[in-house]
Amino acid sequence: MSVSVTIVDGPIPEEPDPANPASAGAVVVFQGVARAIEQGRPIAALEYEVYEPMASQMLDRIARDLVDRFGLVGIDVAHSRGSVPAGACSLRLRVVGRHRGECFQAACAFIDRLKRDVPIWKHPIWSEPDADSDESNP
Amino acid sequence: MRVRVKLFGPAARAAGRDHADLTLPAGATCAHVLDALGSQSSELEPIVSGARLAVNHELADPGLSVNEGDEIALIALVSGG
Repeated sequence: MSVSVTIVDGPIPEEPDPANPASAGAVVVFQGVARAIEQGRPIAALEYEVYEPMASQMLDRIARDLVDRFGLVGIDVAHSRGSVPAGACSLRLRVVGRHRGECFQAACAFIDRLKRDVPIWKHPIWSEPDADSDESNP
Repeated sequence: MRVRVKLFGPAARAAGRDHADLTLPAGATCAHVLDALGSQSSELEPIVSGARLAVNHELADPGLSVNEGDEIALIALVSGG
Protein backbone atom coordinates (compact mmCIF):
# COMPACT_ATOMS: atom_id res chain seq x y z
CA MET A 1 0.00 0.00 0.00
CA SER A 2 1.38 3.40 -0.91
CA VAL A 3 0.06 6.92 -0.42
CA SER A 4 1.62 10.09 -1.75
CA VAL A 5 0.40 13.66 -1.19
CA THR A 6 2.00 16.67 -2.85
CA ILE A 7 1.12 20.37 -2.79
CA VAL A 8 2.48 22.04 -5.93
CA ASP A 9 2.99 25.77 -6.46
CA GLY A 10 1.09 26.59 -9.65
CA PRO A 11 -0.30 24.11 -12.17
CA ILE A 12 0.30 20.38 -11.79
CA PRO A 13 2.91 19.48 -14.42
CA GLU A 14 2.48 16.61 -16.85
CA GLU A 15 4.34 13.56 -15.63
CA PRO A 16 4.86 10.11 -17.14
CA ASP A 17 2.87 7.37 -15.46
CA PRO A 18 4.97 5.51 -12.91
CA ALA A 19 5.48 1.78 -13.16
CA ASN A 20 2.59 -0.15 -11.66
CA PRO A 21 3.10 -2.80 -9.00
CA ALA A 22 2.43 -6.40 -9.95
CA SER A 23 -0.82 -6.48 -7.97
CA ALA A 24 -2.33 -3.58 -9.96
CA GLY A 25 -5.10 -4.39 -12.40
CA ALA A 26 -6.68 -0.95 -12.75
CA VAL A 27 -5.55 2.66 -12.59
CA VAL A 28 -8.04 5.53 -12.47
CA VAL A 29 -6.60 9.00 -13.01
CA PHE A 30 -8.74 12.07 -12.38
CA GLN A 31 -7.59 15.57 -13.28
CA GLY A 32 -9.31 18.70 -12.10
CA VAL A 33 -8.86 21.58 -14.53
CA ALA A 34 -9.35 25.31 -13.98
CA ARG A 35 -12.53 26.05 -15.92
CA ALA A 36 -12.18 28.97 -18.32
CA ILE A 37 -15.77 30.14 -17.75
CA GLU A 38 -17.38 30.64 -14.33
CA GLN A 39 -20.88 32.02 -13.89
CA GLY A 40 -20.88 32.92 -17.58
CA ARG A 41 -17.74 35.08 -17.26
CA PRO A 42 -14.29 34.30 -18.63
CA ILE A 43 -11.59 33.78 -16.06
CA ALA A 44 -7.85 34.17 -16.40
CA ALA A 45 -6.93 31.85 -13.54
CA LEU A 46 -7.99 30.25 -10.29
CA GLU A 47 -6.10 31.25 -7.17
CA TYR A 48 -5.80 28.42 -4.62
CA GLU A 49 -5.29 29.10 -0.92
CA VAL A 50 -4.08 26.08 1.06
CA TYR A 51 -4.01 25.89 4.86
CA GLU A 52 -0.90 23.87 5.66
CA PRO A 53 0.02 21.50 7.19
CA MET A 54 -3.64 20.64 7.79
CA ALA A 55 -4.52 20.27 4.10
CA SER A 56 -1.73 17.76 3.44
CA GLN A 57 -2.53 15.87 6.64
CA MET A 58 -6.19 15.57 5.67
CA LEU A 59 -5.43 14.52 2.10
CA ASP A 60 -3.12 11.84 3.48
CA ARG A 61 -5.75 10.67 5.97
CA ILE A 62 -8.48 10.48 3.33
CA ALA A 63 -6.19 8.54 1.01
CA ARG A 64 -5.23 6.06 3.73
CA ASP A 65 -8.87 5.62 4.79
CA LEU A 66 -9.90 4.83 1.22
CA VAL A 67 -6.96 2.51 0.57
CA ASP A 68 -8.02 0.51 3.65
CA ARG A 69 -11.74 0.64 2.86
CA PHE A 70 -11.44 -0.48 -0.76
CA GLY A 71 -8.33 -2.66 -0.45
CA LEU A 72 -6.44 -0.51 -2.93
CA VAL A 73 -2.84 -0.77 -3.98
CA GLY A 74 -2.31 2.97 -3.52
CA ILE A 75 -3.36 6.57 -4.05
CA ASP A 76 -1.25 9.48 -5.27
CA VAL A 77 -2.66 12.99 -5.13
CA ALA A 78 -1.22 16.35 -6.11
CA HIS A 79 -3.05 19.65 -5.54
CA SER A 80 -2.12 23.14 -6.62
CA ARG A 81 -1.43 26.16 -4.45
CA GLY A 82 -1.40 29.69 -5.86
CA SER A 83 -2.33 30.67 -9.38
CA VAL A 84 -3.48 28.11 -11.96
CA PRO A 85 -4.22 29.53 -15.43
CA ALA A 86 -7.53 28.64 -17.05
CA GLY A 87 -7.30 25.25 -18.73
CA ALA A 88 -4.40 24.04 -16.58
CA CYS A 89 -4.49 21.13 -14.15
CA SER A 90 -5.03 21.93 -10.45
CA LEU A 91 -5.60 18.42 -9.11
CA ARG A 92 -4.33 15.03 -10.14
CA LEU A 93 -5.62 11.94 -8.37
CA ARG A 94 -4.24 8.52 -9.27
CA VAL A 95 -5.98 5.50 -7.74
CA VAL A 96 -4.39 2.09 -8.21
CA GLY A 97 -6.23 -1.12 -7.38
CA ARG A 98 -6.75 -4.71 -8.39
CA HIS A 99 -10.04 -4.05 -10.21
CA ARG A 100 -11.71 -1.04 -11.81
CA GLY A 101 -14.81 -0.95 -9.60
CA GLU A 102 -13.09 -0.07 -6.36
CA CYS A 103 -10.83 2.43 -8.15
CA PHE A 104 -13.77 4.40 -9.60
CA GLN A 105 -15.63 4.31 -6.27
CA ALA A 106 -12.56 5.42 -4.34
CA ALA A 107 -11.85 8.26 -6.78
CA CYS A 108 -15.40 9.61 -6.39
CA ALA A 109 -15.27 9.24 -2.60
CA PHE A 110 -11.91 11.01 -2.47
CA ILE A 111 -13.16 14.03 -4.42
CA ASP A 112 -16.33 14.22 -2.32
CA ARG A 113 -14.33 14.28 0.90
CA LEU A 114 -11.77 16.73 -0.49
CA LYS A 115 -14.52 19.19 -1.38
CA ARG A 116 -16.18 18.77 2.01
CA ASP A 117 -13.32 18.62 4.51
CA VAL A 118 -9.94 19.72 3.15
CA PRO A 119 -9.00 23.34 3.91
CA ILE A 120 -8.38 24.56 0.37
CA TRP A 121 -10.16 27.53 -1.19
CA LYS A 122 -10.22 28.75 -4.77
CA HIS A 123 -10.96 32.22 -6.02
CA PRO A 124 -11.51 33.21 -9.65
CA ILE A 125 -9.31 35.86 -11.22
CA TRP A 126 -11.62 37.32 -13.84
CA SER A 127 -10.34 38.14 -17.31
CA GLU A 128 -12.30 41.37 -17.32
CA PRO A 129 -14.19 43.33 -14.68
CA ASP A 130 -17.93 42.80 -14.27
CA ALA A 131 -19.70 45.98 -15.37
CA ASP A 132 -22.62 45.22 -13.02
CA SER A 133 -20.48 44.74 -9.92
CA ASP A 134 -17.99 46.72 -7.93
CA GLU A 135 -16.04 43.51 -7.32
CA SER A 136 -12.49 43.72 -8.60
CA ASN A 137 -9.66 41.29 -8.79
CA PRO A 138 -7.10 41.43 -6.02
CA MET B 1 -8.59 34.42 27.66
CA ARG B 2 -7.73 35.71 24.20
CA VAL B 3 -7.68 33.54 21.11
CA ARG B 4 -6.95 34.27 17.46
CA VAL B 5 -9.00 32.63 14.71
CA LYS B 6 -7.42 32.36 11.26
CA LEU B 7 -9.68 33.26 8.35
CA PHE B 8 -9.36 32.01 4.78
CA GLY B 9 -11.04 32.26 1.42
CA PRO B 10 -14.52 33.80 1.36
CA ALA B 11 -14.46 34.36 5.13
CA ALA B 12 -11.27 36.42 4.94
CA ARG B 13 -12.57 38.43 2.00
CA ALA B 14 -15.89 39.07 3.76
CA ALA B 15 -14.17 40.20 6.94
CA GLY B 16 -11.45 42.13 5.13
CA ARG B 17 -8.75 40.50 7.25
CA ASP B 18 -7.08 37.14 7.72
CA HIS B 19 -7.75 36.68 11.42
CA ALA B 20 -10.11 37.63 14.23
CA ASP B 21 -9.09 38.16 17.85
CA LEU B 22 -11.64 37.17 20.48
CA THR B 23 -11.85 37.44 24.25
CA LEU B 24 -13.61 34.44 25.75
CA PRO B 25 -14.22 33.03 29.23
CA ALA B 26 -12.01 30.19 30.40
CA GLY B 27 -13.45 26.85 29.34
CA ALA B 28 -14.98 28.25 26.16
CA THR B 29 -15.74 25.70 23.48
CA CYS B 30 -15.60 25.77 19.70
CA ALA B 31 -19.33 26.53 19.67
CA HIS B 32 -18.61 29.61 21.80
CA VAL B 33 -15.87 30.67 19.39
CA LEU B 34 -18.23 30.44 16.41
CA ASP B 35 -20.91 32.39 18.28
CA ALA B 36 -18.40 35.08 19.20
CA LEU B 37 -17.15 35.33 15.61
CA GLY B 38 -20.69 35.84 14.34
CA SER B 39 -21.41 38.43 17.03
CA GLN B 40 -18.21 40.34 16.36
CA SER B 41 -18.69 40.68 12.62
CA SER B 42 -21.93 40.99 10.68
CA GLU B 43 -19.98 39.98 7.57
CA LEU B 44 -18.96 36.70 9.19
CA GLU B 45 -22.34 35.94 10.76
CA PRO B 46 -23.83 34.16 7.73
CA ILE B 47 -20.57 32.29 7.09
CA VAL B 48 -20.08 30.87 10.59
CA SER B 49 -23.55 29.36 10.52
CA GLY B 50 -22.79 25.72 9.73
CA ALA B 51 -19.04 26.30 9.66
CA ARG B 52 -16.50 24.23 11.56
CA LEU B 53 -13.31 25.05 13.38
CA ALA B 54 -9.95 23.38 13.21
CA VAL B 55 -7.98 23.38 16.43
CA ASN B 56 -4.29 22.64 16.06
CA HIS B 57 -4.88 21.36 12.52
CA GLU B 58 -7.68 18.92 13.42
CA LEU B 59 -11.37 19.41 12.69
CA ALA B 60 -12.95 19.98 16.09
CA ASP B 61 -16.30 19.02 17.59
CA PRO B 62 -18.43 21.96 18.78
CA GLY B 63 -17.99 20.88 22.39
CA LEU B 64 -14.20 20.83 22.35
CA SER B 65 -12.68 23.36 24.76
CA VAL B 66 -10.15 25.80 23.37
CA ASN B 67 -7.15 27.24 25.16
CA GLU B 68 -4.89 30.24 24.78
CA GLY B 69 -2.14 29.38 22.35
CA ASP B 70 -4.26 26.96 20.31
CA GLU B 71 -4.07 27.45 16.55
CA ILE B 72 -7.69 27.94 15.59
CA ALA B 73 -8.93 28.23 12.00
CA LEU B 74 -12.38 28.79 10.56
CA ILE B 75 -13.08 26.03 8.05
CA ALA B 76 -15.94 27.31 5.92
CA LEU B 77 -16.92 27.16 2.27
CA VAL B 78 -13.94 25.03 1.24
CA SER B 79 -13.61 24.58 -2.51
CA GLY B 80 -10.60 22.47 -3.37
CA GLY B 81 -10.27 20.48 -6.54
